[in-house]
Amino acid sequence: MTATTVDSPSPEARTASGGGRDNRIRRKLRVPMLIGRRLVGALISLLTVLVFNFFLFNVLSSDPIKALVRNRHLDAAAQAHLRHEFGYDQSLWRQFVAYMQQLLLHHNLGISTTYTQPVWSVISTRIWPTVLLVGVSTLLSSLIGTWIGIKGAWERNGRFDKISNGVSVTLYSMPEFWLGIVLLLFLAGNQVGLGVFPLGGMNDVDVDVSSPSGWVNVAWHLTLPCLTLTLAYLAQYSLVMRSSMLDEMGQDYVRTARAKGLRDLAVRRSHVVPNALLPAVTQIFLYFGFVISGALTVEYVFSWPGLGLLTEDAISGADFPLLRGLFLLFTASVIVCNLLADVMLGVLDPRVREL
Amino acid sequence: MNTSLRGRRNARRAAFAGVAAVAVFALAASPAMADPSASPSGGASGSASPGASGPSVPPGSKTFTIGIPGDIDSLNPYSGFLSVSYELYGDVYDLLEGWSQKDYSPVPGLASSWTHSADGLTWTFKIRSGVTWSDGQPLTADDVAYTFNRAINDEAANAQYYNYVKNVKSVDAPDATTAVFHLSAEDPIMTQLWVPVLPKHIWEAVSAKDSGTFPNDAMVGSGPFQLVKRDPGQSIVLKSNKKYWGGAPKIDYLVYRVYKDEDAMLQALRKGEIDAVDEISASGYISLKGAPNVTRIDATGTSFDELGFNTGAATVDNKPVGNGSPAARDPNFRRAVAYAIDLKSLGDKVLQGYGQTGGSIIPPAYTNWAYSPGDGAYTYDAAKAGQMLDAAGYTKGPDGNRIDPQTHKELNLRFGAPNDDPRYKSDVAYISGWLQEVGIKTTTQLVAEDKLTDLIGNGEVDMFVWGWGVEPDPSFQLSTMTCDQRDTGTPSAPTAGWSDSFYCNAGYDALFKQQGQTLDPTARATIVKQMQQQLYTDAPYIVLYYANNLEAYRSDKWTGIQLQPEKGGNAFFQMGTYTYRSVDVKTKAVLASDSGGGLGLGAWIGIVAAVVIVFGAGGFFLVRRRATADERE
Repeated sequence: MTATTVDSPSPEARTASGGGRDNRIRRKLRVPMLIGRRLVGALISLLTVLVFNFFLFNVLSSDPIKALVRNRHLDAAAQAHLRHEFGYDQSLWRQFVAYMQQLLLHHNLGISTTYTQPVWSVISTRIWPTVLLVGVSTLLSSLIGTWIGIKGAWERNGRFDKISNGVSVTLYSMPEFWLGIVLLLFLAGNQVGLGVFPLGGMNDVDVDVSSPSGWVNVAWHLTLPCLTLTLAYLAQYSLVMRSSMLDEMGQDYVRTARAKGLRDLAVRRSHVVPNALLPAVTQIFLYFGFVISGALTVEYVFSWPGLGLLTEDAISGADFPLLRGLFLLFTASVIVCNLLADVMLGVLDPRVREL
Repeated sequence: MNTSLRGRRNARRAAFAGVAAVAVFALAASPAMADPSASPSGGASGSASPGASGPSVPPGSKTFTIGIPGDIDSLNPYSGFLSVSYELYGDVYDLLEGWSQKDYSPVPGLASSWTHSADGLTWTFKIRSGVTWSDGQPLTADDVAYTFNRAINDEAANAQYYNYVKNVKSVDAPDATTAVFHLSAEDPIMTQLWVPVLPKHIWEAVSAKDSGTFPNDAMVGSGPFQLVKRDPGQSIVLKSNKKYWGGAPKIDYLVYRVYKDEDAMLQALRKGEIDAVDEISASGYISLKGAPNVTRIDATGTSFDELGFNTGAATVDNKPVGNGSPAARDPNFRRAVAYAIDLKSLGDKVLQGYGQTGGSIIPPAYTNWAYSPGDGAYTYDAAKAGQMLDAAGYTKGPDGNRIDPQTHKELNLRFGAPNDDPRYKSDVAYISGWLQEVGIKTTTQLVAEDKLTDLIGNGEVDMFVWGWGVEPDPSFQLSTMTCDQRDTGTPSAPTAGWSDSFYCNAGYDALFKQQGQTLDPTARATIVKQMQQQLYTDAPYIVLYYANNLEAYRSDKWTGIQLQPEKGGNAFFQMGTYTYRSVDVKTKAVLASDSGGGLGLGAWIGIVAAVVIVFGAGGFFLVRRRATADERE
């Protein structure tokens, strides 16, 4: 991706030509320093979220004990006892300190009131289904979307551009659960549909998920929810890539490349696309952050046993320790992916390192 | 969707209701809450099987699969709360007694017979011999004594099963087949002990403070089914116990599979991915009409929705609470309201006809206990309601709204309901409409359940719509109308505070006590019906309807479905395992073609999906390589 140095004189090129020992050391340290700066920023965000997360649920729930006993009447003595055992009779500040202590020193997120098991052990069994579903669909929709964006922009207002734009934007504007239900009815159900795919879950009970046939079974279950998410988010990538391509195509260096007599394909591949990819790459990484928070509605429609379904259960059961744990995980994953996006951009785009 | 499984509505089993008031209490009270590292390792809470690898169900087994709308909450019978969890405990564990398939009357369970002393204070249960736990250990009366003594003494266990052991002092086992219960007072519940008998050799290693958080992944039980595997959020696989004392189930496996979305669940039934569904919505039930190979079951329900009144919010020592309208305290006013509401068309509209018109607080499904008002029923008559209101002094003001005779102000009743279920919203909308017709103005307050609990408890609403699930024994439901159950009382009995109407009647309370001391079922039923008649007359509740339990199953594949009660009852989620033990495939041929075809095609599609991914990634790198190659030009 060094095409930039050829056509658009970057600050990188200037400093490099300036030479000098100090500069060389500075240049070597540039990426680690960039990462360091971003890391500090990410840690600050994470801590802010932790604090916010704690107080958020105290605002939401007027009485955690009421939530805990699941809306039942409970006599005053029992309520007082509960309050004491959970530390809710203490000041909010002391509760916060206790929560942070448990979290940071003992890595303990508390006990889920619905599942009566440690929050982390409840969450950990649900992470991989979601990572598999949203990870694969994000990968697919970003690759396909980017490709559509490149091709569409290059033949702007051509037939491919018009059709792909229309279709992807239509899919994007549909609520994803609706798209999911339509696919489910027509491809999984056999009342009006083909009845090819399963109607829910991640695997059948008569397969061993650790064997190759089990993987196939999982892939078979994965297809429809994954297809739903892939189709629903195509436009997110294709539109960004398309407009980014169009921006680059109007640049002087492209004209120069053409003037040099490069073939059309070569101009596109080695000059326009690498530059146009920069914003798209950032965006893909940003969306990866949301991978873990899953696709609640799609998981619901396809009964995919991931974090989205767990969140739904936690909300309907007013399970605040579990919700806190989930929110922490979601925000942490967004922050980490933001960090990765920043760092990736720094690696890909030398201009960023200077900032 | 029955998210309302939790909470007040769906108390299908006793443990849900009276006892669960403090269920979470004991769990929370255990110090293990603060320190999970202290809990014994029963393995991760995830997969339950000892050997996690390998398929849970060998292909080609006789597997009966039921769709459920949500996962179970716990494998531990001291902390589970949802009805699907109780269903699981009933499959995996034995109870001392059962409920007959015919009419819920007591039948032998793990105890083959029982007798009680003349004063009703000593009960002797004969425990079956030759029964073994799923880990091979023999089950003896010692396990029974251990289970009940733990339910008396252990905080978590007591919270869950309080209702059954509240009058039991201790239990001992003089020999391997005899368990003797010593009671402090007579209690008819002794013939309906819904307490899973647990293996002493497993549970004695679980300390009291870990009772609520013990994962119980192995679930060693003696019931007709044994846990094979639990996939959190997805499925629970049970294997039939071929050595079961009541006869081996005819199926090999019983599977519960989660379908969050009801449409998906019904499609799965049509397709044969699952074999049965329980508690589906009326619209879902209607949609299955004419579905090939599917038989629908429209079973009498055991829950009701009610219009409740704030009949005078007060503490147990009669200190008034809140600012309830005097009108709601007036039985004449409440009776007039009962005439103003068209219960028949409410049921037709809200339940689309799949329910029975409301009457007493004991649903008619419990034929032995339910009271029927007969000719004395409040039948819809708006004119009569108007006359009654006039007679009681609630005359109409200038704009047609009725005036409260005590405050001389226009009546405006605060009408609360939970906002989580569209059914309650419909109830409220129809009822307010009918009340407006007779000149009673209402202000609707749709709020979250915990908020409604507060409003009711603080006496800040005048009437409300909500629901109850009712267990086969009438004691708990009747107890919610006693003076002792009024709110914000002195810290006393652990279940205090179940009343939401604040009904208090000394005569009723005396009858309640009397029925609790009457062990003869016929004599007790007479008192129980008398109590219901009293409630019907005083109308602290106007029972709106009993929603039917709508089920369906694949009748092309399965035979041997049993209904409970025999007349108009349900086939799944029973009080017992009648259907699960008798259900069998119709022919071998059907089994062979069992949904296996889809897998072949599906496998191919799975492979195609994988190929797409690989090629997609490969293509991406190819593009990149070419890009660099171009530069070298």
